[in-house]
Amino acid sequence: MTDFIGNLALGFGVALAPINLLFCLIGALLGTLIGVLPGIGPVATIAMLLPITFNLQPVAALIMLAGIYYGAQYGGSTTAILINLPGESSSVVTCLDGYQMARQGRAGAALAIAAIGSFFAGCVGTVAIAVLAPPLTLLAQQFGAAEYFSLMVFGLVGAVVLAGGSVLKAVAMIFLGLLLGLVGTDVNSGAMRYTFGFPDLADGIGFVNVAMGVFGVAEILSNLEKGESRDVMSGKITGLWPTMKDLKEAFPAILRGTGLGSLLGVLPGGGALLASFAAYALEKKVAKDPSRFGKGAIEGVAGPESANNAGAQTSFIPLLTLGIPNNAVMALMIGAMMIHGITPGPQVMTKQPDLFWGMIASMWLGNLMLVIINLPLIGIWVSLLKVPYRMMFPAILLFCAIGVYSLNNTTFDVYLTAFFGVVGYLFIKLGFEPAPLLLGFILGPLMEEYLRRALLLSRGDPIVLISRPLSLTLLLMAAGLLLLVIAPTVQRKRAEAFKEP
Amino acid sequence: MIRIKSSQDLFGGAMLIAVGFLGWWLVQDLPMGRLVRMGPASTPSLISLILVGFGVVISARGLLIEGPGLDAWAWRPLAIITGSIVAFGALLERAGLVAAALALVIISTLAAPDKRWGELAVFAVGLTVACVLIFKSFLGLPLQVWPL
Repeated sequence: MTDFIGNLALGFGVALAPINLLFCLIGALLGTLIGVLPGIGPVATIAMLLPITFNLQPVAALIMLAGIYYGAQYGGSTTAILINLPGESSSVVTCLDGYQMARQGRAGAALAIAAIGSFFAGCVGTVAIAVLAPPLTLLAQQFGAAEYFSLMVFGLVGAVVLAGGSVLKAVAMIFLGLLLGLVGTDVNSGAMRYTFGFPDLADGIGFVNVAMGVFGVAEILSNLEKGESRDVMSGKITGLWPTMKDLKEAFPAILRGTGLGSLLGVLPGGGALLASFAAYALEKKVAKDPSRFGKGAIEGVAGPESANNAGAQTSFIPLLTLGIPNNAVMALMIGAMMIHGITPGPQVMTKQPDLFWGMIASMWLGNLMLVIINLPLIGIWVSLLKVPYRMMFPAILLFCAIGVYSLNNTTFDVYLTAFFGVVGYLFIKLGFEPAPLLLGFILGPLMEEYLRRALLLSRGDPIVLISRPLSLTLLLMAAGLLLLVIAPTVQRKRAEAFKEP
Repeated sequence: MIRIKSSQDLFGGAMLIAVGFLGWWLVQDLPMGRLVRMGPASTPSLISLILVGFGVVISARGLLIEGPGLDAWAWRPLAIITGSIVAFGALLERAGLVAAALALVIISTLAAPDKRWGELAVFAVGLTVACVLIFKSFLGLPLQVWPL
């Protein structure tokens, strides 16, 4: 307990430093700004804003990136409520009841409940990280190469099971990602793999190029094709404050959403998306009168919004303690940390406690800022939504292009991003989800390295993966998950969970 | 005559098979190594063959199980957007950020169905100025603004 308070005190000491506070604020604001724009999810937002953090100190940079993440998350729900267009996939369910509330003239209450729910969930999520991180870090310190390999297998299997869409295609995308991750110089032998004679590929493909291409550019292509229709709330938003009755109805939903979201966020492949879908389903199930849902039930906003924020927070736990990203956003965060010379993993907490606890404390501060700054700023976000798409997408493309270029100051990366844009469009056409690809892409080189190391230590005996109890447990859990998802009943349930309720 | 039940799956599988074969073939000159000291070709070969396996299963499903077909490709936006990014890359180090940004904005806007020329001119200039101010003046990124 004293540790807990001491750690948090250290964290707040770092996070409350004026400069870090400033970057937390800028991050949350920028994240919301970009996140409000429809069709740009957190992954594209973070990738786009990454270059802004290059010249910062690592602590400030990570604080800002975390701010961008939950800002983007939060901005997505504003779009969902006001124009019935999810700013990102995790706010799809917020559209259902949030937009209905807005149409009934209760946009203010919906936005406020989303903000309050998110803030509450953010507080719980932050405490959960602070409590769970030290024991998990201790566990991680006992991990050898074999355990890490098995943990990653488990993570990838989990990512498939909990992600939407076809399991078969998701697994195929993971393997494609693993293969892409191997492009470049092999660290052990120095041999060039898949570089096609391009010296720029010797260090591998930059993850930002892949992420911007398949998430950013491909998204724009698909929007242009669909032809976008928006119906921005034209009336003035009045009555920002929810009534006592609203609060009374929403509070239990916030509690349930927070609990469910915190739990799902830690799981591999979990995070905001799954959390919000599951929370909506839960609210519908426990409601006395389920027919109110889809017609402006406040629980339908409160539950999913709390859950996706809680999930967004707790998905940092595996990243910060084990160094393993469990979803595409965290994969990007790993990349960002590496740019600043930090290798995510258990050693971060012990060797750089100020960075670790500072980031955690800043999460809570960032959530607080979101509530304080965003409610008054809603008018600005709404006017931003009135910018026509024909002006929005060239601006997004330009920021992406400059961002990609400034990562390494080479135009090769710009071309590579254009290439991955086309690839991403191909994936959309062929019905492949790009998120598992990014996860495989980040984990590919790590898995190869850990597997090699494990086999080297065991003198080439693959039994090492199952003779060590921790590693065996992880592999068994992975196998169990895989069997579970193939079972027909689970498959049906899973399809239901991801169907728009 | 076999009827294609899901052209999306059939072509998706075919893509995986193609990538898998390419991935396998490209590392065949590298050493495989043995388990105790895995060579650079071992992991990529294994993953490539697994990809071929998935490709076969997915394309077989395309023939056997009813599913979504391929919809038409929007070639025009695809070509324009890709072209605008490539133009940006080609111009940036030769002609500077101003020219590259203008080119990207003007070319990419051609893909919009509701473009207005007057608005585009003002918008392109305004956005370019904003980018120079944000990225060069404020963030201090090493970008070349004008032609050498």
